[in-house]
This record gives sequence, structure tokens and C-alpha cells, in this order.
Amino acid sequence: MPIPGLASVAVPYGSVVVVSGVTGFIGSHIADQLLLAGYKVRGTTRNVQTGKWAEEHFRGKYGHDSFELKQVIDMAADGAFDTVVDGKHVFACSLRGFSSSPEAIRRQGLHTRRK
Amino acid sequence: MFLPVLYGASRAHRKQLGAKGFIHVANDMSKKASPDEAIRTAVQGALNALTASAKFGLIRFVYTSSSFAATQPKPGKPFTVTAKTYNEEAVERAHQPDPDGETIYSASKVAAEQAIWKWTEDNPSSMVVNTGMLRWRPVF
Repeated sequence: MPIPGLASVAVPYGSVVVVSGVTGFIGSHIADQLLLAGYKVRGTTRNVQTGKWAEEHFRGKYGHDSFELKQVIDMAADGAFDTVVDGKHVFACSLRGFSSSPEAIRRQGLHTRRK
Repeated sequence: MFLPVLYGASRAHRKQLGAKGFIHVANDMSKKASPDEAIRTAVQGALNALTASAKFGLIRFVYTSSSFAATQPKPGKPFTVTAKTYNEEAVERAHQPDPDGETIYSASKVAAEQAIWKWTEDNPSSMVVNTGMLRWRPVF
């Protein structure tokens, strides 16, 4: 459902929007509104175990591809949000578990392909 | 045998995976941190979110700030808030002995917001940045 009262939007519907602190009160409501409007949400939390409810809830309500939960343990660490914003980590997950290094992911992908 | 197919699909899919917007809400609400630590985490976290967004060409960045970044509530007392008003009271109190959690929170919101605006001045880009604030009721 497009956002009422807006003839056009700057960020196209269907795009991924990152919401940090997505398991909190404000973050979870923002995610819900984004999903309702037709965006996809990539949420971050310090602990994906305790935040699991958010993924279950939003995927149940808006579909499996609508929402994903990523762990950012320390948001003050250098480059804490880089892989989350870039989105390449998702590719790594789909092949063989989590890797945070873009180089490692690229190598894995090429290697797998050559095989 | 299916791996090349998986790879191809993933690669095509990957193009859509980069985010287009970032709404930075995360904040340490545990009230366990010292004022310096709370402020450092808030500022560094916000700048990490902001720089990642600029680096990967996002269109919009929003920091969910707070009315407490602008001012302390002053019920019944008329006062003026402008775009340049910050909660200097809280910043000052945060650096005195034993500040309460609310004061530390307010000071960290002030510091993070100021850091975001300074960064946008120093690093012009086409990404539109805003710091929204939420209030539980109108000021008047």
C-alpha cells in the first residue's frame, strides 16, 4: 500500500531500507510502516537470537523475502554497517554460511563457479 | 551441479540487494554506560551508519533523533525552539558528577545529531540526510 498523500517517493517502493535498532519499540514500528508501504527491510540488532521474534513476525506478516535480520554487535566499530548496507553478505549466506569479508565472498563465489 | 545455477541466480539477485535508504534508530538504552562512553557509541554508531550509506550511494538517510536533542521539556513555560536549538542543559549536566540516564541519553542525541550535520557539511553528496524527532504530544 503506497504511502497516502505522496504522489511520488524518492526511494522506489520495493527497495531495501536498512533499519538499525529494528527490534526496539521505535525501530520495529518503523519497519512495520516501511513493509506496509511496500519496502523491504533489512534490520540490524545487537543479538539475532533475542531478536528472532522480529524476523518471524515480519516474515509471517509480509512474506519471507520482505525482511531479514542482521547482527551488528558493536555499531561503534569501524565499518560496522558496511556489509549490511552493501548487501553482499546475503550472497555469501546463500552459498556457505556467513563471511564478513567481501574479498573472501568474492573468492568463494569464483571458486565455486569454476568447479 | 546446481552450484553454477545458484551462483548465477545469486549474482543477478545481488544487484538488488544494496540498500537505498537507511533509518538509524539504534541506541544504547541500557543506561549502563558512562556519559563519555554513551556519547562516543552514539556518535560513532551514527557516523558509521552515515558513511556506509554515502559510500554505497544510498538516496536517503534518516537519523531518528529526539525532542530531547532540541530541548528539555518545560511544561507551562513558553520558550522558543529553532532549527539551531540544542539541549545544551543536558550536555552540561552530563559532564557533572552522577548524571541520570535521561540526561546521558539527551546529551548523546545532541552529540550524534551535531556530528551528523557536521559530516554532511564536510562531505557534500547527493544523499539527502535528515534528523527526525519524535514527540509524544504537541509542544503547545
